[in-house]
Amino acid sequence: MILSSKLYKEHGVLKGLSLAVKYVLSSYLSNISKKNKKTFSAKSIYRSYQRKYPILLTNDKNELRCVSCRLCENICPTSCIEISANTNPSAPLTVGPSPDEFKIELTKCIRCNLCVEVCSVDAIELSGNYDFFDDTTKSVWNKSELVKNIK
Amino acid sequence: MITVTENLQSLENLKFDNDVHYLKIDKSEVAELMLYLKEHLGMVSLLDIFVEDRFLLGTSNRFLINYLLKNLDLNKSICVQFEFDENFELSSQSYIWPNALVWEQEISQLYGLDFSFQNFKNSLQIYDVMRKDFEVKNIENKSLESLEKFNLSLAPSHYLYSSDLEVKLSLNDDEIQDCFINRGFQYRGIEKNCENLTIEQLIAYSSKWVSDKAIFYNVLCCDSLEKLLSVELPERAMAIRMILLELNRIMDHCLSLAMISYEKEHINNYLLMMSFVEKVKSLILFYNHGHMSTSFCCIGGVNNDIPQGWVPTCISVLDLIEQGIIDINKTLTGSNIWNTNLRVGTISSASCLEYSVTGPTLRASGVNYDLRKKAPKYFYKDVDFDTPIGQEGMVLDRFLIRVEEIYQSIRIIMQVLDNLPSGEVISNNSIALRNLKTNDDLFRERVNTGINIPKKQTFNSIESSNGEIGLHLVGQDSIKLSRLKIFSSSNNALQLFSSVIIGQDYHESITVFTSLGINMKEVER
Repeated sequence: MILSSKLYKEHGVLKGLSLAVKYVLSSYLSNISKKNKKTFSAKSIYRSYQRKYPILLTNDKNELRCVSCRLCENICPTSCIEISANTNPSAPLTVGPSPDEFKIELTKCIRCNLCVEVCSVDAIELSGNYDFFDDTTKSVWNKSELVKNIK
Repeated sequence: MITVTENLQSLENLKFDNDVHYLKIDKSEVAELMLYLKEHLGMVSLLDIFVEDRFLLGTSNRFLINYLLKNLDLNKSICVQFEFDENFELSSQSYIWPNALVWEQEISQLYGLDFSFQNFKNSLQIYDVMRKDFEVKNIENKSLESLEKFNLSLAPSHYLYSSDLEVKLSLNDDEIQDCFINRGFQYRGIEKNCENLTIEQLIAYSSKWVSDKAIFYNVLCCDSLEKLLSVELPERAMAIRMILLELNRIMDHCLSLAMISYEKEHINNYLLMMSFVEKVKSLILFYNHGHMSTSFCCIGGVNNDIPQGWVPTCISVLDLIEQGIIDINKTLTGSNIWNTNLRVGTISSASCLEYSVTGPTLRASGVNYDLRKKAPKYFYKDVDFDTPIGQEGMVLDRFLIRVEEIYQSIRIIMQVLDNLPSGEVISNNSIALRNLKTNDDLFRERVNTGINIPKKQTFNSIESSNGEIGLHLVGQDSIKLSRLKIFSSSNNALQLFSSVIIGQDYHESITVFTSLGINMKEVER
């Protein structure tokens, strides 16, 4: 409980006074420092780390990190991911060929973070901004377009 | 299989070991048993009726019907089951429980089964959207043309009905003589979709069922799956789930208070309440990476820990809301105009129990029934809070109870935040996805094929912002479920609404509707 914290316990007069002065001064100083900063709100914070649409990440050599293990394709609840590659079902999850084609139907995506959680090589991330209103007929994004959209 | 005539006496001495007792009977003994259950065992309310279609199993009796009954005093429930084939004519149970009509109508439209409806007047009709590869029989609805009065139809998607619904009224001056409800604009086939999903997919999908109550449904789905697989939670995850459930309750109550005051043209209160909705919503988004509830829960815990700086913002927002409630008590509850405006739509406790409506509506008419007290989950047992009870069951009572419940859930959140337990957020079980990542083969098998669900039935329910919501899961000893049924109290409340507004003024029908807290997304799944 809050009442059992340090401030509310019984103290002697001198110790109590010193504690009180300490807390008053610290609150006063923090008020001064707040005036210079921006106002604190929940909205501004969650926008900074909001989950957005999926993008594919690359190596240092500009190759896709994906090893085409198909785990994200299988777990996706709306089945919006489509991979075409030769996968070895008994190989370890960190080694494999990069996919021939990696399509995501972004209008189906509900941004549930399951594909990111499953991936063992960090090849996919939910931080992409896409222009949905450029081409209204388009719903499926290709491998090359998903990489480009890093902002 | 129990034969009724011999063993009716033995039913009295039933020991309810589990939450739900499953009772398999023969189809000829239904009528006798149902009356007995209501009169002698106190099964006052009929929660749900649903049918399992077992066409793929190839059994001789294709259908299995389930009646879920509840005793509110003891908080015990019985599920009566019997098998039948396509040619069998079911008898309607609406002479015992009048809310049975809604469920039976839906079943007859989904499966093409016959119910003997002839003697019952029905004011609800489902719009023609269901799959129909058969002829629909025996569904008679009364028409308004024969009444020869002035007819008024409140259009579908009225701005205050909060979802799509058509209400046709026949009026005598201002007084409503008769009412006729046309529903079925929003069926999405959720329950059928869920039968093809694995557990992780199901939990992610559950938050999209009803958008206003995303957290309620996500927690409910995860909790009943944990009950089915017998998984235990760590303490910190339970506390976080409790806090977010109460935040969602505050948000939903604020929304309905805003709607009532907007209808009564009290714009100040409307703006105040909508600002609270925004603030609580931003708190939830802050916690959950900018989403209402997708991947808030996972099996065996919660996905994210509380982020830095969340607790002080939560406390400051809740302080604001508490001050706002004090303002409402000063300005609105004391004023005569407001009190006389809301003295409409009285619902007695008897008719509430008859239609088995729960939540603030039942508490407003004077029945002390709260699942948080009756069957406490998580830490609701240890937390100190009160359940407010109304007297007459008017709109005013429902308004005041919502105001008081916001205050009580602020109390709960403050107590949980004071004693927030430390530790991990996900349990160390082998079922949680995150714990398996070290072993490649196990992890691949777990993701690609899922968990084997045992051949078992469970019914699990929690107290949401407008009554009880529940989930019925039927496993079939494979990866996927054989049947999933969502139960909500607002389906019964819709039936009650059509009988309550008769005799009222027509402009008050919307106030009654919003105060009952009916969400059409729950009714049409």
